[in-house]
Amino acid sequence: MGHSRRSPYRRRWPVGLIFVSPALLFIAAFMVYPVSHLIALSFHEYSPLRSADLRWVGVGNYTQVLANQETYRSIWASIQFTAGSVVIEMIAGLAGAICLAAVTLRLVGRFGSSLNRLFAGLFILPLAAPTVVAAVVWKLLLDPEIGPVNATLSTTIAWFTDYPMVSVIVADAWKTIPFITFLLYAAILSIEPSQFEAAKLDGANAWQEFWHLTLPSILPVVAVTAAFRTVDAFTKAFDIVFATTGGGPGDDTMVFPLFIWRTAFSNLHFGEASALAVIAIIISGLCGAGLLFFIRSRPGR
Amino acid sequence: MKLFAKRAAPKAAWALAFVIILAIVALLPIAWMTLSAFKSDDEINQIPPTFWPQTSTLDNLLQLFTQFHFGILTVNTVIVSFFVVTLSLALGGAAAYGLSRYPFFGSNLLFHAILVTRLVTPASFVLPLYLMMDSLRLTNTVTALVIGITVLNLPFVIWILKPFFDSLPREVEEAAQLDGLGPIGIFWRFAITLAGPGFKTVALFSFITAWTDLLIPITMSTRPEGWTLTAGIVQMQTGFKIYWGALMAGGLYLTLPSFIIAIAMQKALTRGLRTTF
Repeated sequence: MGHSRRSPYRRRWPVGLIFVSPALLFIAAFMVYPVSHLIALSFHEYSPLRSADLRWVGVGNYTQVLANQETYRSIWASIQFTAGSVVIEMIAGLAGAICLAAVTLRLVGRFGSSLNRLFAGLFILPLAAPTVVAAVVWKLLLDPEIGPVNATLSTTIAWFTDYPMVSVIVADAWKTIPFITFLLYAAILSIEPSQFEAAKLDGANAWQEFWHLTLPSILPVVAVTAAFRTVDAFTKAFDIVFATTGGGPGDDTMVFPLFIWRTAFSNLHFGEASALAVIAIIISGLCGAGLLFFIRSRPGR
Repeated sequence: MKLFAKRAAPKAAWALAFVIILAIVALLPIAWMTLSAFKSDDEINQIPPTFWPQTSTLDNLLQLFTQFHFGILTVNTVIVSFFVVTLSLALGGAAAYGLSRYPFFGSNLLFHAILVTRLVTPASFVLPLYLMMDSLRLTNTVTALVIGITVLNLPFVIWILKPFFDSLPREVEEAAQLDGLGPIGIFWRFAITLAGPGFKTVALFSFITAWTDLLIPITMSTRPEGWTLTAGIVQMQTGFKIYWGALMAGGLYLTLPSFIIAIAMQKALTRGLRTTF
């Protein structure tokens, strides 16, 4: 930073602290303190239904949850959900973005430009749609008896019971694909138009243009988006499952975040839930570190 | 009417067809929800389902208020959204400004430490937060919701706004300083105005976060007094009977405000997406 001349900002360092301290106090009180309490709790047995006392059990909660098959089943469910949703969303989002760009880059005239605005508006809507709404709408659409999907296909499939993970992924994909489309579309628009003209002069067809120009140019954005989505799907998927299957049938869709929440608030095993929560934070931290490393190691970003 | 430049027309027409199909797939579920919101429960339970309501009714919408507490839930959701946005902007805006304009020993480390709190998975965080709110006797209140949603949102706000302040020219603020204005005066009178677009973006994202959050209200509250609309909608499908009509009306009711605001602030939303990723 160029602070060679006497900058009025540099010498008064406590001023910075004055501005930061309200946020800092808030985060310390309502994030740092609870999380340290969580860590302490993970070494205690605490089941408020049985007794209000905390009993020190050392790493007992950790050995218990790590020996529990349900823990691994929920991590497996999270892996399935993450892999399925990220792959589908990235492929469909990329296809959508390329077609959208193919249309809007070639639109001309007044009607063309209003159509352009309409599409841009259309594809930001799902971002504002609450996940809960995506969940309940798809529950109706995929309902075995009164759902229009079965009526259209002339089938009687109980989607959320027979194919629960697929159905949850469909609901999640519906909400997320337009968002990915939008991000990648913005990346395509930032490619210099002269490059497309040069490709055309070289006689490239649509496929060659995509393979040699568009895809390499937006690959960094594709990679970062996919990485962010992966971390999010693994560590934060909650609403879409909670409001559709609730983790069932059995625990087929009991993804890890939901499993932690259920252990705490359905079974009221606060000690074990804390151990799971600490494990989740560690996993999330490792993912985050990996993500950071991944982004930093890419040249040009 | 001319849509495409002549030479590109055939290829672009195919792409347009595909985009229109995508848009229809994206919109059909919303359309189904909207139409179902005005059907009677008998009609929704009819096999095969109807697309257009045979007799449209407002019963579902009324039922939301008479049976599913949407009056108080609406008030709660508006209050929570308002305070989450205000607190996020005030705390996060000031912190981002301080970190950007008055760096001090360790401030860069502090910035990154704040970002790291984003890695705390919300499902892990709500258990100790619940115990804390319980001991403060704040469960089943909107205060607990404002605190929980804001603290999860703050790192994001600082993450967006600090680089935004970094990119703003300092001339105006330096001139104000020469005129004898103190740092807080400069922040209040000039920096906030200059950073208007960034604040708008952050306000929009904070609003959407607060308006659509489910985890915090269902964790902190067991009664409508402490729920927002999302929690109310989830509650509607527990029990033996699903009130599909009311559920769809509730979905529409919850979605419309955030759609309208997102469209009205499309520019801020687009800018936010480009800086976030």
